[in-house]
Amino acid sequence: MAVLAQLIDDVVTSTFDLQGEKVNIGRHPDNEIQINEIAVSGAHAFIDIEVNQYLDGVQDFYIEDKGSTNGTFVNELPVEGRQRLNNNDIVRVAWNTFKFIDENESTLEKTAYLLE
Amino acid sequence: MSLQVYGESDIGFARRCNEDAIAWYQATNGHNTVAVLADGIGGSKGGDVASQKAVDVCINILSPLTEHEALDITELIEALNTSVTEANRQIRVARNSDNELSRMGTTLLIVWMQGNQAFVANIGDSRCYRLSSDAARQVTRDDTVAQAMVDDGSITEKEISRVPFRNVLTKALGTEPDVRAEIQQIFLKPSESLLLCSDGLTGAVNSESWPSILAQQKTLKQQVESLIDESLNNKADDNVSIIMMTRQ
Repeated sequence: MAVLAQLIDDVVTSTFDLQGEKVNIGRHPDNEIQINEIAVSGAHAFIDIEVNQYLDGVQDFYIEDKGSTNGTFVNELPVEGRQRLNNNDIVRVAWNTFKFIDENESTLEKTAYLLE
Repeated sequence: MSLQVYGESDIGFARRCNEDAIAWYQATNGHNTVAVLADGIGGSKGGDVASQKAVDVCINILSPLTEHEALDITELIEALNTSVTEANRQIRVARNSDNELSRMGTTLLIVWMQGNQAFVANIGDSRCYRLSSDAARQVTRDDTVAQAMVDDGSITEKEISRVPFRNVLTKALGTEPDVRAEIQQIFLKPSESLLLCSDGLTGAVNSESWPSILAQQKTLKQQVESLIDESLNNKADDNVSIIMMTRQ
């Protein structure tokens, strides 16, 4: 299962499982991942979880900002539109840092092989 | 104008064997030329067998046809399809006769040049580029999961290099009973050349830097060698194969 691990000074302080079809992130208590911090917007961002159409057993995680005040970043680049998350990406929600961990991805072959 | 062709294949920095294969044949009158490049599927035993077989079959079928002054398009496309079908059949026969080779397969890229026209047949993720003095433009479309996700809008072109399954092919030679290549006809300007390569080159040297690397060299052989050298300098983690075709 993929998780978002919150980092403070490079130490994991909490982890959030990414499951279901959509995980909302924000300051409001309605969010599946609630970040109670002033720089985070009430409805800040969300992650869509979809089954990959081409690869059996692979899920795709797409993050999108909801027009937040202080922005959402992946590897320090602002998220514009919808962006796929890859294993070990650093996700920043305003000033809160997370590591996206998808263990399934690390088992995917790194060299060319065929989809059979 | 006459056509010059040169190519090289290198094992690269990290692989234990070269699973790429290249060959070309130029008609005795120098008019028609066929070049073939194949990259055996890594991780499966027999990748080198599959790529060599694909190249041999295509050269055997297509090289006699180069002696014809100018084939019409229908004949040529039929010949390209025949060579792909036959290469696929022979690889599958070899797969079925030897358990060790039962999962082998290969990419295949064929370029037929006559005059200023090129016919490009492609299966897999080996690539053909048209080169000018300031740019390298990709002619072929990769048969990969990553490219399919770009096409369906799931990811952008820029994200391809980051997805973990960027090398997963959706199509290869030898793995299905029937396979068809994507065939394109392109017209080259006098100043343009063609470059065929395996993904070892594109993985090690960004295509944006090719024109400046090539501009420093005088001969075609030196140009091909300069790109191979650059990929080795960058510790290419795959086999690197290049064929260049230029009209002079």
